[in-house]
Amino acid sequence: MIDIYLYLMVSAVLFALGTYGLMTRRNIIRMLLSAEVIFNAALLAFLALSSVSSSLAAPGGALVIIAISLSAAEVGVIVSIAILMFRKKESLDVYELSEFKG
Amino acid sequence: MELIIWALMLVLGGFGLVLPTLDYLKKTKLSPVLSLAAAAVATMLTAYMIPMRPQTLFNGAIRVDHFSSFLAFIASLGAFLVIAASLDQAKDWTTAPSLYSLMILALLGVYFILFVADATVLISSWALVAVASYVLVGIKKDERSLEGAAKYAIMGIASSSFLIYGLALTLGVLGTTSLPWPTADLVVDWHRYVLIVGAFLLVASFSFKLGVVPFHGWLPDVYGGVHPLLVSYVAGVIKLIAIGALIRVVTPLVPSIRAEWVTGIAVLSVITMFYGNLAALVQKNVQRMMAYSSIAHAGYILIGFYALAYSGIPYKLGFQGIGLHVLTYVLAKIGIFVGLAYFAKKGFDLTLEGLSGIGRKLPVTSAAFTILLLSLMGMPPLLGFWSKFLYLFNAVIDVAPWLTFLGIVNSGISVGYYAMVLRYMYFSEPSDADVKEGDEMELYVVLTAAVLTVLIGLGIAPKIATIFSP
Repeated sequence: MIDIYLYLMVSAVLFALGTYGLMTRRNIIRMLLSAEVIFNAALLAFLALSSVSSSLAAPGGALVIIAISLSAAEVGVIVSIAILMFRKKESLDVYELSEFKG
Repeated sequence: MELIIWALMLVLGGFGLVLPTLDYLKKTKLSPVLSLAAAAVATMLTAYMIPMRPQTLFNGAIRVDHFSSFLAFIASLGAFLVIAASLDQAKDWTTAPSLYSLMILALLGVYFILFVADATVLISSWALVAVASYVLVGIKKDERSLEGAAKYAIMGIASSSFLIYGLALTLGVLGTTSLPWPTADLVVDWHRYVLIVGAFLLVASFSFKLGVVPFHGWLPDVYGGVHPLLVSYVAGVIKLIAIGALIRVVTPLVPSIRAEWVTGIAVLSVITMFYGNLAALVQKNVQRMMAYSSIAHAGYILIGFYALAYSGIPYKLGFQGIGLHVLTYVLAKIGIFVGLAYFAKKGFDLTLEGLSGIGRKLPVTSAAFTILLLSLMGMPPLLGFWSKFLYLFNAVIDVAPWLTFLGIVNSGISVGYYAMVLRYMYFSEPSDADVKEGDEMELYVVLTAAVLTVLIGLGIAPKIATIFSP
């Protein structure tokens, strides 16, 4: 059995990469990809931690499947918002949009 | 009790799912009226639940107590007011049936987050509320709505990721999915560190929804740019999930991580209050100013969470303060944003100059609007005075007097911009536009919010606080 710390470390690295991407990118699709990397890091940590605990093995898997469906719904909505945005503005830059600065 | 929950699910979920299809197939325009009826039924049912004995339902999936049913009542009242206010304006939008169905479906999700007693329920109801709210923000399909929706949704997915990560770490340490978590002393030392990281990831996740400062990036653009009616729903109803989840999911962990909790929440609270109030001072657009004032109020509510780390009087006052301030906040923000929607509908520009002399043009709405602003400011005897000064700030006066001091300083700063709005509304020359108040729903909603704020302020507030106190 591979040590659980290895999984947790991979997950932490993915988390850091995703957070970096989310903070530095301005294109909505790139931001979505970064957010998805964070999400998958979270799922990896979840599965790793629940696999070592006898009481969490079953509910942990169920939770992860529910979480994947949550992420799928969110991605669907974000992509449709991105398509509408591109049709209106012909740009996917989230920050360039602001026509009203207060 | 289980019957009431079933009734809520049937009324809100059933109507929410059926209405758009019905309107589309039959070419009717029933959805606004039926959604209003559903929200009214939900308001009555949740009010009926408040005094009932706390109990765990559905094999431990949800737990209903006084506080959570009180928050559920506030959420339903808010939804009822927003739906009533949107009857006049939103029914002509092409997306109206979807708007109403999303509103009541999201309300159902809010209930389950408030009642949550198991991590599985938390994630699935989170999905319901989150996805519905992204669509809700962008539903008008103009440029500003889309921009707001894009930011809100990206921040929302980051928030969901933080939620899953935080749950993974806390569950991994505590070894159970059911809430409240067992607060056993953690034997192994590194377990405690993992728990601290997990708890603060959960706090970060809920802070995204609440608008606490390092996670507030989306809030000014959504609250300040999207149509005010939609904002009133996001600010008044959807925001309750953050408070409910913090109370249910994170505060049971506090006894194990007290020292770090106190430091972390104090830092978040102080920077949130200062950022919100100082940024609001320089705004020219009133809607955007109210967005920053929302950030400041998230900071005030965090003071209540600071007090929850102590036992005895700070805990009790903090708990009651959170509940009362949520009521203040929901009534005021719904009233203010609906009022702004009304002004915009009457052809006023929502900048400070644009609202010049509006107190003489629309006297009744402006008077109610003023009462709500004063309540947010904390003027006695309105509800905001009770919740902010006598409960939230008073709760920490023994354990952290400096936090009370900073809170009062911030209230002082906030008077600056609230008073500026009032100055433009009443002491500037009105424009020549010829507008009159008519028999319109928005007017009644703003009035209802103002009247409730005054009535509850006149001595009912302490009685309400004892109903849901721990």
